[in-house]
Amino acid sequence: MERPELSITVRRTPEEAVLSLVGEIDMLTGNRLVNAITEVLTEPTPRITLDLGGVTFCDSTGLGTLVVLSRKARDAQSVLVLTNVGDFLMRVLDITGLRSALMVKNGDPAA
Amino acid sequence: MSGEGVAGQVEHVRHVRLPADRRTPAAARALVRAVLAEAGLDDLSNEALLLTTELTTNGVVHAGTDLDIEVSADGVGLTVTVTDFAGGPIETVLARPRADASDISEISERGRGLLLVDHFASRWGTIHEGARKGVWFRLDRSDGSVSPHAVVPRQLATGAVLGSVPVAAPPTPGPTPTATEMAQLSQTAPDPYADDPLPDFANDLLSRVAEMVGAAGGVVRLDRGDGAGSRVLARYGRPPRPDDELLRTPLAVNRPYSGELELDAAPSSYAQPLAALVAERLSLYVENDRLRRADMRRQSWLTFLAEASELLAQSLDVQLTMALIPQLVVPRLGQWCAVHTTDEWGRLHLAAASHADESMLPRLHAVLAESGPESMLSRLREASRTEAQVPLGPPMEGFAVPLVARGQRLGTLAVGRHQRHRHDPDEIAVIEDVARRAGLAIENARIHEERRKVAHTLQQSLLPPVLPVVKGIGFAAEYVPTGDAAEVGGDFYDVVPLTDDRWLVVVGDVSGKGVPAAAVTGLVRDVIRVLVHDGRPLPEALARLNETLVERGGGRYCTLALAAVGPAPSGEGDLAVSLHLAGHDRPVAVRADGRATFVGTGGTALGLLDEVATPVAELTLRPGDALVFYTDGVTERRRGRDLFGPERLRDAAAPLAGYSADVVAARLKTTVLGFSADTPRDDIAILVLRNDALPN
Repeated sequence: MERPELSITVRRTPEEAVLSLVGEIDMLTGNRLVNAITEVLTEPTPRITLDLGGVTFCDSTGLGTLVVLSRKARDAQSVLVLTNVGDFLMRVLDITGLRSALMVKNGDPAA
Repeated sequence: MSGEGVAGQVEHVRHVRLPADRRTPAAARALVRAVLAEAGLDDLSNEALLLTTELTTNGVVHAGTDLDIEVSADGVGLTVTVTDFAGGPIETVLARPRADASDISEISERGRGLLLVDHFASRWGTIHEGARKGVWFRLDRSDGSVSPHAVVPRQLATGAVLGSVPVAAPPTPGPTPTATEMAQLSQTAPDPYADDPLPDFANDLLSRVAEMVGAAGGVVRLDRGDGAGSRVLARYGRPPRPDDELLRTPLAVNRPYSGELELDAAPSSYAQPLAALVAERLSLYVENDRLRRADMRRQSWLTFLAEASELLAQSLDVQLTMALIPQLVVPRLGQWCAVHTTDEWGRLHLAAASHADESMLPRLHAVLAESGPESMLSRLREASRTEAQVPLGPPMEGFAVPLVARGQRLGTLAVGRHQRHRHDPDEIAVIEDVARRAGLAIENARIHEERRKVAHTLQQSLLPPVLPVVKGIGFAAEYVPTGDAAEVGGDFYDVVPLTDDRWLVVVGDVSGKGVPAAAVTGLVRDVIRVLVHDGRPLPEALARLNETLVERGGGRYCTLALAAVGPAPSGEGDLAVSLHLAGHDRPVAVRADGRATFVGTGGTALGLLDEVATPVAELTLRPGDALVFYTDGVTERRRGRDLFGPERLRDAAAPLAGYSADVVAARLKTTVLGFSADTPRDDIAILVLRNDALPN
């Protein structure tokens, strides 16, 4: 399987850092996301937006990673926002009760 | 790998074994994607990929062993099973309450995997099979067309990869059991040709009923009452969790068997009657099993008893019989065995003991040697006194049975319990039987020994202990009893003084053997003594003896050689011999010059006819001449088909001319015995009378 498991592109503005994710989030790729955000947080930013529009898969490990990252962001006086969350992932967030704990802002990612 | 599904739909089955690696969940997803595409189930893809990942991740994180992943799909859904090889319980964080808190710091980042499985799966469960354990789930299309025969992980994998370990199918929680399923429940039967079909049958029934009632697990336990305790006969699914409600149904079997069917299921409206039905069917075959085993055991005990009897019956020696008993008992009937005998004052003496563990024998002897009110010896005395079975307590547990034969207390037989279990009633019956047979064998051996003593005493009493010493006449006798020491032969000889200074030599042979023959022998000898003491002429004495035997001999007859010996009137040291033969073999006269001839004439044996003819032959023994009397034990000494015969005796006697009576008798005995390697079948008696007067 030579498909890219998860690719992350970072775009910074003064208001936020936008990370566009393409691929799958699971136990293999979760660390890469953690590393990317840790990297982003070395320069303080009021908001980190995760654009999940290109995410085809996210399991409970991935959700765990999102929880960890939210905590990390808060600790760094920032906030983690999820955008373009797919229908299925939204269902999963509902089922696990994480939708209210994670900040989900579907619609205009730049809003 | 695809084949016909149960419902005629094409089944798509894939199986891989993957390492415990972080890339494994992705690989499992690829597999599931491929199967979904093949089966046209792409609409299930989100859920299927998620749940597969959850199970696989769980395996990678918690088991750390290779994972077997099987994906099978039919037209309506798919089943994924992930098993690992780690021991111990399934390490999963089972469905936790949802995180309703909105404060991210209070929310765990882990533990949602099975919550998702539980939410999305049509059904799911765990599997325990040998070294493997795991979790499976089933996803059905949500359009409601639930397959009646959903593809479930009936067989986790092909034999090539995993061996042909069958894995119990997970429950099919149909709303109610179908008629077909019900029918199968009552139609399955054990394989009639299998050695031990019960476990397979129990497993089959258990998995069927568990599927029907939707049990997550189940166990059939059976205690065969053999000391091994309750054992699992069949197992299905996962072990019950502590607070699970269990449906228990006892099996209706006879003692010492007991068992139960346990299902990890709520006692729903139909679960209870179904469990009862299955328990009933199982009971029937378990009961069969019990009877079959009991039968086999009894058969083997019968064989054992027959062999033991044969061994014991062959032993006519008391000591040997005693030594034999522990060898028969240990280890088959117990760990150890001790035989005690009762002496004439009723005291017990240890005769033989044996222990399966050789190194324990000194300890056993020590326990047996203890005295006191609580000692083993006092328990044995109780068994002997009450003539009943007595249990023995520690340290040498077991029980004692009395040895009794023909109403006589002979001693005790103590048998130690088996290492792992107590004696069952069958074994106790067998031990009592062994004790009975052993008692009889000991008694028989005692009687035999007694008889041997009697025979020996009787025989000795029938022979004159010492032949008289007479000037000028040499008397010598050799007597070899028959090979069987317990049998008394009918041969006898005697030298009696006559009233007229002559001596009477008597050699006779009563027909038959044993004590009855010996009694007649005694009669004949005594009658002759009495008659000649009265001074009766020999022909008259023989006639009277004949009458007595006809009347009192009990059908026995007797051959006799009587010889009255005295100095010849001619003087010159000659001896005059009047020889009366009553059916007896003619004696051999050995002359001093080496000639040997038979002398006398036959006559009639006594005890057969009312009238007897006992012709008399008069002969003279010159100095150095000898007369050799013998019984049929000599002439009928056998070498193969060849008899020793009178001629060989005569020829053997001729060269002995000139030797003393003792030497002649001894040499002839040696010759006769040396003729054959066999032990004598009949008594051998040789009596030599010699004129010892010196020639002038």
